[in-house]
Amino acid sequence: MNDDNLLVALVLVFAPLSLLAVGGGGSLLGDIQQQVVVHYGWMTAQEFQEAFAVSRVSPGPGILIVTLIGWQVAGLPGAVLSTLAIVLPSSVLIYALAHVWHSGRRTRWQKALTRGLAPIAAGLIIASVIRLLAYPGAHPVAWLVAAGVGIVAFRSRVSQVLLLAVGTVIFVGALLLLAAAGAPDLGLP
Amino acid sequence: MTDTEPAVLDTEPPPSPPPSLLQLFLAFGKISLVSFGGGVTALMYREFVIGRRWVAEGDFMSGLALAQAMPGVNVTNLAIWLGSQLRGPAGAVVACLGALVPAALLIIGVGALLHELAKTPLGASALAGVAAAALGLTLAMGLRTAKFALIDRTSLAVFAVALVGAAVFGSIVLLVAILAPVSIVLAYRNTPDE
Repeated sequence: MNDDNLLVALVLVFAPLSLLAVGGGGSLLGDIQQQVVVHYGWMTAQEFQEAFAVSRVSPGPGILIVTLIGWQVAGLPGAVLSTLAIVLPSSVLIYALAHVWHSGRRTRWQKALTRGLAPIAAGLIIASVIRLLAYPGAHPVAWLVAAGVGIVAFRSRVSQVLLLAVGTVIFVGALLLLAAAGAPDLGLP
Repeated sequence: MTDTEPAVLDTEPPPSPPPSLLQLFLAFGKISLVSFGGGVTALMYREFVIGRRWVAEGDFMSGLALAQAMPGVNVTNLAIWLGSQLRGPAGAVVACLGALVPAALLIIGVGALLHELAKTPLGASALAGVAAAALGLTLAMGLRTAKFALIDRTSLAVFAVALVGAAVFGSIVLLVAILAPVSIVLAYRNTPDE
């Protein structure tokens, strides 16, 4: 794929997703992985996982994983165009609606919009987690850590930073222990 | 996602004079850079309603409901809404850039740094661990959304179709394009007419 085609492809992947990001960027992760790793092969599953980790330790909206993917796949033009593609369509929509969405009591349609999209958002977010955990070469310990952190974060008000740190330490510790116990390498780098 | 009802009407005048474009850019840049994971909404509430008093509480809640209901990133959606309320089209563009540009530059830098780290076996394991733990946080967000969303059989059925469809096929374009209108119409029929 030459450079121009690559840039066009990046925009064509991310622009439609912009309008489908119900409940925020988390809904899109599974689809982005599918396009970037499986369909186009721009990154390995491993590199995508790494980009996801980076997007979660770097401050700012999580959707900036798209900026990072654009940067790694096609440099500065890739980063700029991918970011614009994922942000611009939904931004134009919200700008247009900002003037018709009235303050005060919400209408029946406004309530239906929230109520109708929320279960889709929930389904997409959880499906994204499953797809990102199921990538080839993923370690079974990752499933356990994700489930553990997920349940604690859902049930309690423990700080996200703390959970991220503890989860990471447990994951690395478990891998080192397994290696020391002579467990077969389950596909980690 | 929280179901918020505005407490105050939009007839109340904004408590402070509108900010300059530079102030808008810096304010959203700051919000974006100190935000980590979730909790951005609460930060913005403290900053814009209580701290700087750029917007009345009722208006903020109404804008937040819009930002969360519509597709897109919640932070940039709210930036565009608030920017346009305060300074028109230029305000919308500047606020959105403030939320994105500094954080985008930072993520590229962090990415380059961690890419070096990932070349060692321990560094690679640590990044895989971060990804696993971060997926746990995303899972919790999904569970919270589900808790809010699943209120009747219709929402449960829509949730199940979205979950299974997205998990099996990966691509969500067709799925959401078909499911979203159906679900909104069903929700409309199930919402009492007041």
